[in-house]
Amino acid sequence: MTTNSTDDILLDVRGLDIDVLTPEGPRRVVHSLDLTLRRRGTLGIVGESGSGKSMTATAVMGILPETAIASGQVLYRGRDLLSLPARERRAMAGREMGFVFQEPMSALHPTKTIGAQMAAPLRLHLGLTRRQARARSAELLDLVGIPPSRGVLDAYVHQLSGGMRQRVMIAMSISCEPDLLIADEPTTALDATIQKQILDLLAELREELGLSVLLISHDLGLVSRYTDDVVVMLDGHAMESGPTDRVVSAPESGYTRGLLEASPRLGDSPDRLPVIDKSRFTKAVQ
Amino acid sequence: MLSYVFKRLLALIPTVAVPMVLLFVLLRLTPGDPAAVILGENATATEIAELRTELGLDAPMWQQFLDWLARMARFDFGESIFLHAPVAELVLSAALVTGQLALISMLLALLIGPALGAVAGATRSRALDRTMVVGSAVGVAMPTFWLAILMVMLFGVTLQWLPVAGFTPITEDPVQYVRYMALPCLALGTLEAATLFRYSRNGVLDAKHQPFVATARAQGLPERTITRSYVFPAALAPLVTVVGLSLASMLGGAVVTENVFSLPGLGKLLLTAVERRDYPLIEGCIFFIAVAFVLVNLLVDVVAATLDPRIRLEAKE
Amino acid sequence: MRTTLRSLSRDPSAMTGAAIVAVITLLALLAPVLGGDPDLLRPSERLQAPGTGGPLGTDEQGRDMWTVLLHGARTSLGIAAACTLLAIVAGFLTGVVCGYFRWVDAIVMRVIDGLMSFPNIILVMSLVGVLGRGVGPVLFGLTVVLVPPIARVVRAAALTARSAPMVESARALGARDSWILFRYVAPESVSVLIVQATMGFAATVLSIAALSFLGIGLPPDVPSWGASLSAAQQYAAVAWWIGVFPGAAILLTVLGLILLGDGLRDAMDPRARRLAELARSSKSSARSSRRVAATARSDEKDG
Repeated sequence: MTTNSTDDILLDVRGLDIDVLTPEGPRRVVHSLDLTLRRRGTLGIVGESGSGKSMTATAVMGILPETAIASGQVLYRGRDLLSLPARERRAMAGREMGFVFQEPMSALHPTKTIGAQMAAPLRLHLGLTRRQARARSAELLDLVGIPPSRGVLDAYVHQLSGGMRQRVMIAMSISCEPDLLIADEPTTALDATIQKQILDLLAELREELGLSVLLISHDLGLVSRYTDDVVVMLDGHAMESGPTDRVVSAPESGYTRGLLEASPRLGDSPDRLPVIDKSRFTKAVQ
Repeated sequence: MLSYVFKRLLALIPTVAVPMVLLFVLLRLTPGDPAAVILGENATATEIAELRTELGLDAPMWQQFLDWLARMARFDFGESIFLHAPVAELVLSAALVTGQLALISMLLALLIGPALGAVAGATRSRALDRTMVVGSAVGVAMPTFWLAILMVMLFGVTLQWLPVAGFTPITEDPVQYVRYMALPCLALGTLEAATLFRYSRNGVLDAKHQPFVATARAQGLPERTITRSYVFPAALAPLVTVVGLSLASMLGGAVVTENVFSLPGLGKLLLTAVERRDYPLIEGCIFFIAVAFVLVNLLVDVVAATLDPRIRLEAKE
Repeated sequence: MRTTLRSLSRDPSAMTGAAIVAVITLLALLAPVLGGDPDLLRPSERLQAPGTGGPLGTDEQGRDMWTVLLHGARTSLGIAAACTLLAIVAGFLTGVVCGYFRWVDAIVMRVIDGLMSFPNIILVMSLVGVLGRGVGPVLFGLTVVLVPPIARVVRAAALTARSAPMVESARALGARDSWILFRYVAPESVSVLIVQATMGFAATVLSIAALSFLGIGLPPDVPSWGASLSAAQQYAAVAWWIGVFPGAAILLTVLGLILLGDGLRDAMDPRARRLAELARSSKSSARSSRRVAATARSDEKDG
């Protein structure tokens, strides 16, 4: 990787360990992980389910489930988030970093209107009045491609289509103009055609708002089209990391090669879906 | 909305029909002459014959059933055998008392139960939660009439604060009314609060782990705000439906409680009817209780639909 | 089943419930040995305070309260057990028939809906009113109201079993329907049935007490907790023990059954079981114990 001055680095994760409490005792799901995300850069984390990629995302955001504990360092603009008091940490969420969840249907409140849910952080972080917050919410929805005429502000989540819900989710995540956007499998719950629209929207917003994006996905092919750098995770370990172009064109790890082969391409109709034998790589790690 | 109400109404028909048909069938299946059984050993043959005609027991079964259906449809329950008054009149005046008892108790329960449940679900203090859960378990296991008796013993007999039994309509003497109603409502309301407590506590515990809470955290909202305006509303919206179910158990409790305090309500009337096997009166009581129950449930459904946008949407379709 | 029992044995409130139920059952069984003659009326020793006229005093007829309570337990538990067993048999048959014959199902389920939403005690009262007083009508009434929830559970299991591949193949192999039912539906529904039966048992104990209190339950000469309580109000000023002890007996019995039933349900629900274990594992890790305790507490279910 090219040398960067520290000012240029927005997020620097060093030796991140995450332990989850299970009936059998604590289990480590992320092992001394390093990540670097440059300002206005894009970083992808790719891995199968259970690889620890979502845990990493929630640890950075500070919204780990109560049964999980993160240790190591998560440096954001040089400050270690893990050593901040809970209150200060919480105040950064929404303001400094936004989060796009995988399942907008359950991630949005069932009995509050979209407008009410969007207004809460605007009033908290930016000190807007109720009226200002509503106007700003309408602008934000417009920005993500939902014109005010749709009446979405007064709608409930179950009345919206899947793509619309995710657009709302994105509008909420960028509402306080954060510097970092974390998108955890933002398109997994959507149809293929809508997937592309949403990812293009994210790319557009990144340009327009100067965001840095951490994109979590199980699909290396997809991540390769939208990120500068990528980290490939397997069972909580980083198998490979580097510029996306290099990782995709000349993967060092056999596991990455496997992922590349497994990713479906248009027009391809293989007789059998490729299967990756994880155990081959897991052994190498341990 | 109207078709939704109609649909709910259809679904509630068995609640009225099943107990009524059950009573109809059982009376006629009882061994021996029902008229003779009802009137007891001292009845004369003429009295029995009269009652047979009055109850229509001489006709063939299918005709009895059709007649009965026609009478029910006209709300015609005939006359009480022992109280010698129209059943409809007796039932309506008693229902007024029971209605007040149930309504006040339910309000009391709604005031206490959900609030405590929300506190127990949200608190970080394990001791507080445990204490409240044990308390609610005792409340659920406690027979209403025993609590009523204990209250009578404490407030009525030992402390002599309140009268132990009787009733004065509110229109006659509001102060006496409150004095008579205080203990019955307190007994019923406290125990129903225990049930509502358990529902709302579980609702809060469930809601706390929903993904929308993670979203609110990711927006940077403080925990207090999340609990108050995200967790509680989601947890308490389904409570309206529970109130409908609660009403069934409460009516049961009310029937027994009325007899502890000699309140002239449906429970007391039904007990009199049962003791004397006053068949038309039993029929009238059950019919009224069932209809009232259906109407309240319908009301609850409508309220639930207005509170919860998901049900509202369903109702529109 | 073994894991269920193991997780049940680690649930303190369920074990408390089980202990209460066990002690009361034992007392009921040993009533003739532990107490005196419940029919012995000693008018000269009416309303004696606890300690003087017997360990718990005497009632308004001069009967020894402790003896009356013991025999009341026999009555309550005996009738509740009979009703629960009858209801399980009836509910099982109803549920299976409903699960297998769709046209029966349509009718019977409406009837069950109707019965389930109607207040139990009122229904039983009216049945007693129509059928007359006595043990038979009371048993019948109390059983009828227990059947619907059991039938529902079994019906659900039967519906699942109907479409299960192993049942299809059993049928293809020529197994008789009745055999299939017994072989597959019974084990499928047994765990939920146990929970339902425990809760139904508790409800029946409450109902018998209420009926006897109202004086329309059992014949007046049968000792019962509810009947003892109906005298309590009259003598509240002079003999508090008549009002306190029988009520406490009802409360303890029902509480024990509910705690046990809740514990059984949790033990059979894998999610709740996992969380219970999670809470225990917290002891091994001091750092995380507070956090885990908080999560496990917030996840445990109790009703």
